[in-house]
Amino acid sequence: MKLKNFIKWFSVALAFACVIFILLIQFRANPLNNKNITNSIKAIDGCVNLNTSKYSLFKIQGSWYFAWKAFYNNIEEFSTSNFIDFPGAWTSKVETSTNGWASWGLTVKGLKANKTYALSLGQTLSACRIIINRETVYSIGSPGKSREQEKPKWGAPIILFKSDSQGRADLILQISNWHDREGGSNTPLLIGSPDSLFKAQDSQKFIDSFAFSALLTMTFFFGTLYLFRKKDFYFLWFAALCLIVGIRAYCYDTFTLLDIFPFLPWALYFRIGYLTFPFGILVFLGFLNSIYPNLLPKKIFFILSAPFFLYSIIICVFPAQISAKLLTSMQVYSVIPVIWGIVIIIKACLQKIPGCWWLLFGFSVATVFFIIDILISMWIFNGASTIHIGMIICLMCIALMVIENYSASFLKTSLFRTELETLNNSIMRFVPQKILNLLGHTTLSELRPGDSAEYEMAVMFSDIRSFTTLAEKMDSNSVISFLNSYYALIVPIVRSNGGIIVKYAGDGFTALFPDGAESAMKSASEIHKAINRHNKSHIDKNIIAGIGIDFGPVVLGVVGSQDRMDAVAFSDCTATAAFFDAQSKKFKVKTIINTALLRGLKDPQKWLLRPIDTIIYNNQDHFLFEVFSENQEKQKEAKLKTLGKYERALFAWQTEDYKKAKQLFYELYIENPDDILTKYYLKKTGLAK
Amino acid sequence: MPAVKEGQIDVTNYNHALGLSGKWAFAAMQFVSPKASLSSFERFESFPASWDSYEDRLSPKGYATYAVKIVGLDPKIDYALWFPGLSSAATCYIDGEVFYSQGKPSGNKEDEQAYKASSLVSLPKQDKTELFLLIHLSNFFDIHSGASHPIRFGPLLEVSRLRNRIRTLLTISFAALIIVSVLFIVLFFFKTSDKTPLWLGLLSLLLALRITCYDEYFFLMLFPSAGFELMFRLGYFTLAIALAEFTIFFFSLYPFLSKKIITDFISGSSIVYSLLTLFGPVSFFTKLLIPFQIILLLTALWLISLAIKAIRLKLNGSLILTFGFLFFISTLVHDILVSNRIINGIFMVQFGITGIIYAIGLMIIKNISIAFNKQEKLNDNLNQLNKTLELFVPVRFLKYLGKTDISKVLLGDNSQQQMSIVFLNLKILNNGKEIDDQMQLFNAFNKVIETISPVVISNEGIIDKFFAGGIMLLFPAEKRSAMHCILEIIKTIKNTKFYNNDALLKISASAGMHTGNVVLGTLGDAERMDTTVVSDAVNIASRITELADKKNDCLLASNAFLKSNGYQKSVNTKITPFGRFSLRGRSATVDIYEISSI
Repeated sequence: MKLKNFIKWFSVALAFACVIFILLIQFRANPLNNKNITNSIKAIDGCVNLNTSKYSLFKIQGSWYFAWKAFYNNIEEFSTSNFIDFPGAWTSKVETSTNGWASWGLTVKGLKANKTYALSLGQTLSACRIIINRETVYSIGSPGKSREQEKPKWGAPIILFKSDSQGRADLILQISNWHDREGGSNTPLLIGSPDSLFKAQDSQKFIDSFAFSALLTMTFFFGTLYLFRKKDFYFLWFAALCLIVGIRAYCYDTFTLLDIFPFLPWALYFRIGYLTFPFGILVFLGFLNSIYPNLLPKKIFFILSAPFFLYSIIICVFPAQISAKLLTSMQVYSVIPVIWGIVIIIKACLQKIPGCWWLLFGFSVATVFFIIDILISMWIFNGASTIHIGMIICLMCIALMVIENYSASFLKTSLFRTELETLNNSIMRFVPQKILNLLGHTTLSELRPGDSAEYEMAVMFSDIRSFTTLAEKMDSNSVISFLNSYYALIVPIVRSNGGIIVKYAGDGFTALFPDGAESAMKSASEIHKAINRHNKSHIDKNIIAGIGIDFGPVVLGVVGSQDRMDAVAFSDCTATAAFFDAQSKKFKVKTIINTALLRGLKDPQKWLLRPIDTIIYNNQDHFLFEVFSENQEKQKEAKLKTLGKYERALFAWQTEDYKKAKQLFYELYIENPDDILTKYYLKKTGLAK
Repeated sequence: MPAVKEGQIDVTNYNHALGLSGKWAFAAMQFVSPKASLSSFERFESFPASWDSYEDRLSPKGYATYAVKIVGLDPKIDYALWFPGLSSAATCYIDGEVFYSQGKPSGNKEDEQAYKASSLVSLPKQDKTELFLLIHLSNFFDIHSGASHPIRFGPLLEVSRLRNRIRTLLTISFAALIIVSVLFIVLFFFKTSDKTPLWLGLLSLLLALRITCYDEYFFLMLFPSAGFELMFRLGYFTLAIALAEFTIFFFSLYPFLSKKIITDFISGSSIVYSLLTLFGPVSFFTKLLIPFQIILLLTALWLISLAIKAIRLKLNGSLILTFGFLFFISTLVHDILVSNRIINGIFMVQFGITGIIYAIGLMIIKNISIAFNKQEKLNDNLNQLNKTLELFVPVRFLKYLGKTDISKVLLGDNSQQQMSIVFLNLKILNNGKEIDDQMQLFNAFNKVIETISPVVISNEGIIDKFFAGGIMLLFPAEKRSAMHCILEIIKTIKNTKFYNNDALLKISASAGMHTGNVVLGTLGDAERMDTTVVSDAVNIASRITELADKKNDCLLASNAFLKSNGYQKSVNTKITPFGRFSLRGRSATVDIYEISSI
């Protein structure tokens, strides 16, 4: 078990490591993360010198020339005293408004003369024209001096340019913002050899696409799980969470969504990107609510999520600039649900709810990567964004939790089933199943008191002669164990002949034979044989059983109330069979049957039978027969030998020829003095005279 | 879209990415000088293609020169070339200058350094309007020479976008397969009883690995030091082993459909071939590719026929599987159309593979969920059944055996208790006569039992046995509740009107009561168990009942019973001596009293 557990976690860890490994390799392969290739360099007063041949990629941050409400084409047009930070927004310089237009300028020196270089810009809001050496080389959207003139767009292209003969390039960014939250850019400028920059882009896009696809696949996986098990709602929340984070990975940074859908209109793209934020928070809360319903009450869930719901509607319905302006305050507000969520996860860990450690671990990883990302953007670390890697690891941990939960509940169901089956088996021992089958029930759970069915069958009653005397000598434990060993002998015989024991009453039992008289007779004969065998090996504890069998209609029914039920055979035959059994004691014979049973026998000649007498029971005449085939050998032979004479004697008695009857019975008595029946008739003929 | 004709292509006013396919200038078994011009070529052949497909059926192993002249360039635009993997080594020259190389081509096998990469190379900005691209290509490694995709050319941003798109789609397929693999392997280890998630996880992993070996050669991007040959071998290996795996997987899914021998043959030969691809010489296993592909094709046909069979039989998941298969086939057809330039687009077969994997994943999740749901439903049913059948278990009785848990009750458990035993016989009379019809009798009896059983429960009695026409009740003697219970039962029966088909029934209840030492125990055999009371006291109670039965509405109790139930405290009852009886077969006598309510 321990080894199995080890293999399990080892394999799980290996599978995880595989994914993380791929991502880390990719991350390392990015030239931006290689300190030998990429150099972070500071621009000072609108000028940067890249004269360090060792590097092929430069990440440039620092102060650029700045001109508010002007679109310059020539670097010389800039005032030499007005500078602004890049990356950054013009609100740091111009307090007036987030809307407007401006030019950023930078002189890049130290390039090789007449050589092709590449540059890459991150997201610039909301439109940007790139001018190098007085020529427009690229335009992301189209910047304008008014909302109407501007055509906003998102993009992070790689642009080629050629340095001039002095190894210089004058770079001007004409930026306008009429649609988004702030004018400017949030990512440093990259300049370097085209190969390195393409390689960096390849690597970033690989990670973006990997994250997108991985998360979409998780959406598929857990969405499907939900589809087939609607009971487990958390699958759906988790699928949605993966979907939203996956889409978000595709919307920003390298804008890979545009690679797949080049003609996606900006207005739609903007909304998709923006919606991922409130949706993400909503789904995160929903997920927590569905896995820990006790920890996150519905009321708080609705209070926390309402603003995000509202914000989603604003994004969809109102112009872009309104949702853009609201973004910062929403981001600040989002701290509350996120902290709330973390508190819930910690609470879950304190309560040791299964799987919560994965959740905590996942979120810790996400937080660490988030902090790293902030540090990178603050220039403390050098490198590309790692947030997607963090998100994949985080969500995969949660996926693990969800799968573990799922399999645990599956396991629990299986265990519960074993439990139920054990219970069922124990209960079944008390349920007279065969009788219920005769009631025609397919499913036992439908059984109700009052269910009944009528059959014609043989009814047997048997008990042990003078059991009370026998039992008096024993203690309770040995009485029960004696009876159980007795039944161990008898029950299989009854069952193998198709008989059903409906009731045990101490040493006596009632059995039904739906198959008819033949099987009841056979069963009786086998019971006596088995007891004879038993007596041979237990000389001190000899048992004699009496058996009475009748044949007739039997109503099988379930009696009782909602507290206790039992199956009962309703029939006159049960009483008569018991009566026959009592008679068998009187006549000291083994089995007594009547004419009703005799008629049911296919071949009555097969059995050794002797007529006894007509006896009235319950206002009815019963003509009884003795079955003597299981008598002791000596007695059997004697009875068989005298059978003809006995029958003649009985005939004489019945035709009221008492003299002849007495004569014959007397002769019989001489021949077999142990025959109780002869004695019985001798007595009777004596009285008749 | 412009095409290469007679070794030349005109891209005037065409500012999109385009594949340089068509008739390239070609020179077999020679490396033409990079400085040469188009006029020095005499032969033109289609490219991308392998030169063994040309009319003169050149040997695939060899070397050659390809060249194309691109005219109509716009000097203002930055152009770029995107090279696919070239088999098996190439050096590219532009206007006589070395521009790009993949490995090192050579005129003989020994000197060739085979390598494959997919690279975007930007052209230096120049004022010319035309350029001459010349490629020295050698192939001593692969089974086919040249390339399967065209070299793409166009403005840098356009080519870069196209490349990003294709790489994105490949990355998506790759990541999807990796994550499917991880999720299903994890799923398997959490529930090891079902092996199908593991098979899918491994299959998915193999196919993901396979994607990294072709097209964009992610493998070399991920493991630059692993080397080209390993990637090449892995490409072959993954195909062979995936076939084996898929066949086994299919067999485990529908064992009765697929023949074991065929499965064994396919998986066996695939495993042998996959081992060869890992450890055998390259030239050997590449030669065996054709026979293996025939096996692959036959397997595919066989599997399709099985899938059709599965649908016919409406087997679980067959429809989803077939949809996946059809999706895969349609991407394959799409790619054939694209490669024959009938329609424009990019290769989609990786998506087809992902689609199949998704379909299988869907099926597995469905099967697992169905199994889960089924189990839950079975549990519910079983729980319901147990609750019903528990009524057959004399729970109160078992309590006196010291067992509260039914499953702990064993055959032969017993205990000795002081108990009051009451046989209550119910004579049900319709118009003063006993009911003849057993069914009617049974129904009437059931109604009476239903009415009186709450009385028994409230008096802490146990209904030990139901007889036709009566019940046997047990009361723990120390509770002294038996007498009270019986009187209440009689009262209840008197106060309730019972009907049989609108005819009012008269219920006559007689009872025989006795108190004594009894042995409670379980009897029967392993299959059918019952509880029983073994005691002389039961016989005495039974005999008393026989006496009571001779009269109607007669309640007879032994002295012992009255004593144990504190009869003197009864207010509403009259107790008259009934007589002293010696019971059959014994010398001791029992004093019997008749109880009647006032």
